[in-house]
Amino acid sequence: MNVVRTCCRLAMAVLFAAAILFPVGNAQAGDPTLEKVLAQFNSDAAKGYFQPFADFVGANMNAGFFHSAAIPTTGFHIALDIVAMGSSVGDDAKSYTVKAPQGFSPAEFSTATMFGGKATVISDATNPSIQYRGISDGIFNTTLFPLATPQLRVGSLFGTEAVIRYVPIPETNGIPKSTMFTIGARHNVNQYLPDVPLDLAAGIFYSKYTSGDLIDASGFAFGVQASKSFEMLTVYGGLESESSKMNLKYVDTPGAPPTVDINLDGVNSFRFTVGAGVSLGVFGFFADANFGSVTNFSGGISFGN
Amino acid sequence: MKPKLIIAAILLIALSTMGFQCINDGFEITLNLDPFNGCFFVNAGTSHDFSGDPVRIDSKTLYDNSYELTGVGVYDIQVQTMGTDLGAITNGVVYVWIEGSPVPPDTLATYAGNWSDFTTPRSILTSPTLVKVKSAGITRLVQAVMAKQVVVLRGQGHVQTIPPTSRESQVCVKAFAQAVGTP
Repeated sequence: MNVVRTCCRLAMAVLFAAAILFPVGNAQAGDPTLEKVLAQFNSDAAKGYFQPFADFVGANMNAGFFHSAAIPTTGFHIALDIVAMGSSVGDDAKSYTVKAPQGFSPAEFSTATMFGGKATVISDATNPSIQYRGISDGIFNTTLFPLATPQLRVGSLFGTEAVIRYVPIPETNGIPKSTMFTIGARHNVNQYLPDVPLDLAAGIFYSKYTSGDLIDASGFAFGVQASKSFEMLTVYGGLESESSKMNLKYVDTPGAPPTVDINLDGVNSFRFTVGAGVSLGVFGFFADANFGSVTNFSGGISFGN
Repeated sequence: MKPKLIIAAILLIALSTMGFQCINDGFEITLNLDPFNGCFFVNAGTSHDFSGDPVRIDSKTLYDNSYELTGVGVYDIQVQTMGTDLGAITNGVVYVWIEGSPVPPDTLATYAGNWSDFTTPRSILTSPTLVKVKSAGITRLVQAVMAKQVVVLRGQGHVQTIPPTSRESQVCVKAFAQAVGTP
């Protein structure tokens, strides 16, 4: 029973993560499907199945930090952004190559990830009655894996503003307490380069998502940003180096080694951002595209100065 | 201002819903069943032939019964010897049938070789000269799991050397299977 409960908690945590990352369409949050899935995920094969999930969570966490490089050097300013971002789920994220049992022919085959279709079934070339199936069908059918979060920007101290995201979710219906937060800083670079005809900034950000002790994901990013404003319109871009990782874990018995302990590194390590925003006094909206190993889009609305 | 707010809201919603169709229909999970495991003693006596006691395995005990099974597959069968080396094994056969069924047993696998060849488990996949699978037995096993019935395994064969004591040397068979289920 304890195993079932723990599996359930992990499953619900993953589903809850997905629910956070899927701002709409999370009516399946109470679906027991995933709790059953995760009970099977105790092998290396599970890494390939989950890898795109880690990739997209990481890419999303590291997106949407800026929509202008203009940062006042002095004075108080505060802005609240509502940012939505989504990672493009390409065909390469829908399948992965997994090893068949030793001696099986073929020795490896392609099957569905969490974002794929039906799991592949292979027959042994020598003994066609012997069959092996991939770990599971894909769960999510989507072309975009989104995230939405509030983002507070506060400054300026010597041309520096703080960037904060915080989403606490209390424990409900067996879903562990979950928290997503980001802390970061952006710094005005123009004060050192007054002749450059663009607004320039540099930023560094750390993000973390936890769901109980079952899911632990984090992201780190730093980069440079540039923008140019034309009346209400601001065109912006940036280069960002980033990393992310995710740990999925459950323990059958307290004190015992975890029976599922999967560590995944997000694939995105660099992104190029290009976007535009419109400012209407204290209100604005913006959208951008991010190109890296994961193609990501972000956009949102902004209130503040 | 109001139209621009509406446009911004639409943009936000579009970004967060684009292409998203949620959970796949007919989602199926692959279940790794506990292996079908049977061990058959080669007893002392005068005969070089042995035929172990049948081993009953309730297929429902091999997986979480809350699943609705939609398919079953066998992906490996392994044979292993334990105990005193009894020399060459010939005519090794593993039979499978469904408890209570009038249908006669089917052959699941055959095996032959030296006793020492099997001291480490030999697989139909990696040692096809030592262990061979029979599709009729596979079909029977699959049917049993799908119908949640009790499977019976029995191993027999011929050994070169009769063991000095009973219940010391044995041939063990494992059949590894996966089921496909919906929660």
